[in-house]
Amino acid sequence: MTKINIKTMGKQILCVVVATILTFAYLPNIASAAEIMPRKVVIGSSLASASTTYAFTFQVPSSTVIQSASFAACTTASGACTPAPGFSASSSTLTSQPANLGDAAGWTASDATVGQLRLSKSGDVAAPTGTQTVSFSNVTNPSATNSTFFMRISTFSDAAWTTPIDTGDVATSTAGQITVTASVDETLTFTLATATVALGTLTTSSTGTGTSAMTIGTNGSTGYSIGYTGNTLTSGTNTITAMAGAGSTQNSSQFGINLMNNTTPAVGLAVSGSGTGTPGTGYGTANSFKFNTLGDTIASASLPTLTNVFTTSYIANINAVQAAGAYSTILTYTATANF
Amino acid sequence: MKKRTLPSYSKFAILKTVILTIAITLFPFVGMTQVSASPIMGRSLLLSTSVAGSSGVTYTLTTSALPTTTTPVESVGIQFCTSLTGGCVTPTGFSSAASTLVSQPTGLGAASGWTVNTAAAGSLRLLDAGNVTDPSGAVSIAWNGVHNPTATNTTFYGIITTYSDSAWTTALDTGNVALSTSTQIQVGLSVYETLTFCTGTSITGQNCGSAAGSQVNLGIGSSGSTSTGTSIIAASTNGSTGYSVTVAGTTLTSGANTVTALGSGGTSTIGSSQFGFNLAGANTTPVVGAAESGTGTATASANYGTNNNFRFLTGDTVATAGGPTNANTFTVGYIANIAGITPAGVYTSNLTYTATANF
Repeated sequence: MTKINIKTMGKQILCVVVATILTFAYLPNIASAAEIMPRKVVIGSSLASASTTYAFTFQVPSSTVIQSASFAACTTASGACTPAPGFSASSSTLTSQPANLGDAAGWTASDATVGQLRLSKSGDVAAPTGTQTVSFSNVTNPSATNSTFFMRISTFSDAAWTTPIDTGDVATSTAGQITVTASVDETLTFTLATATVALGTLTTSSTGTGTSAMTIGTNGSTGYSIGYTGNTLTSGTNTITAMAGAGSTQNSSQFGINLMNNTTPAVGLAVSGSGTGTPGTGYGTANSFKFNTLGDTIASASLPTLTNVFTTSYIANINAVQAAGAYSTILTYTATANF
Repeated sequence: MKKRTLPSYSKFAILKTVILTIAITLFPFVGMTQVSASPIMGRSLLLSTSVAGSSGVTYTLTTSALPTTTTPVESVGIQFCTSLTGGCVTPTGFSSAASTLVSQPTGLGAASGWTVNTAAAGSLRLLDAGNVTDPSGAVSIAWNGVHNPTATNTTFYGIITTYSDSAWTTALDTGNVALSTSTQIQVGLSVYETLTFCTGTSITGQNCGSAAGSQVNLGIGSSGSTSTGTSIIAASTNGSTGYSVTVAGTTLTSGANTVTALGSGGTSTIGSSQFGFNLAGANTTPVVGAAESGTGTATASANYGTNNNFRFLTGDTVATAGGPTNANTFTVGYIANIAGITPAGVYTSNLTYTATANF
């Protein structure tokens, strides 16, 4: 006669009962999840591995009170979630309190799960309304460039992310960063428009005049300076006196220059152009002329500057004892940019 | 014992007796041949669906010209049976109770006046008691509203008979057809949310798998010419309201020095400090970029889609699609101009394009 083991039978019955309870406790959760629609996620930066923001906007179909929600980053939209490599919610925080998810305040983020953005409020009693927005900061993007991944949105009626209410997936993507580069080389533009300046035949009752022009600009960080070198007007051993900085006086021995629009005598033009260059000391006052045989700075700019056109005015006077001859001088202008 | 003898008969009498005997013996067969229906050829019965248990099914009978062409047909019946031998058992679930004529039959005789009879649930029937026209040519009769047998993948038979009377009694021609129900094959496919998006400096068609490169070198800037370069963006999605692509980053920067971003948009001006780009396809001043490609419906945003108008403002949306879209590839055309005072240096702008799909 076969014996019946009461203990064994009891264990078997208990197992069946437990399995049945668990099955019926689990299945309704699966069946009840409805699709969240519409839904989207705006990622602050799609750069792979970037730490950025994730802003979810969606509308849940159920009016069940939500006490927690999760946003899992997966490599696929369905099946078991394989976390998107590199994605991390470990440092995630709520950018702000979610809108229309339930209560207006009291929601907190949980960074306990690396692959899921989570928030909860165990005491929430307000049902979701309208369009919900949930934003997280300090989220690390997946590490693969130009790679699609999926954020699986789930809402839960409990605060432990256990009993789902609604679900929905969104596809999103990382992208490569485009780096645009351009090189700007050092520049100095300097041109002299005139090689010869004829002051004519000088008399004691008139002033000889003439002009030359120079154009200059640079991207030098501290601008530029223009210096000149040369002698005063000379004929053999005879010279015309270089001016230390004064007005033109007929019947006196004078040779000088400036960069101004003068009236006595009428010679020269004002500085033109959109640059910031200015005449040097002694060369920027109308009707005042100067020439330094030791060389001098005639114009300068202290910053990068667009081009200016400087017109150099030359004047020469002679007195009655000025020896006859052909007087000349060779002036060399030198521009120095400071980078 | 008295010997009995056969009476004597003439040879003619014996011959008559033999002939009569043969005639009597063969009479039943002669009669059978006279009443037997002729076979209908070229017959078929087409079902609009063979799914078991379907209702509202159309049964269309077509045959070659009926063999009996000198007797008007007044009724036609198709009896449905589970086999052609033995007594007819109607297939379970088959019903002609709701059957109607799709249209008047052809080739049967009169062009009109035919009506359906649903009295026999296991048969499709029609009649025209007043038909006096002989059948001619191919026959076509279509019933709808028929309920298929309920057993799937099961053969059943239709016995077609034409009658010279309107009560399905006096058969003219007949023919059988075999039919079958079948299992409906359901093919399923799940389509999940998709967003395919990539950036780079080269791509083959719209294949993001081929996207490569991340550096756009505009060369050496000059106050006498415009520097140019390109990158690419490709995107597609099945999002119900499409996608948008935004750009984030800084203008060309070298230390504390920058090339001025065309934040409000504008044309390229040589000698001015400018940095911008667009997604337009036919820039001429300068010549840069390429036309959008792909079968998608995405377009460049208004601020970035006009030829010879360039712009850069971080956060701007540069391209959008209003609905689900196949892939498009956009070519981003960058321009940079420098002023005479633009400080020397290597200028860099890191741009991140981000796509958002709306499901």
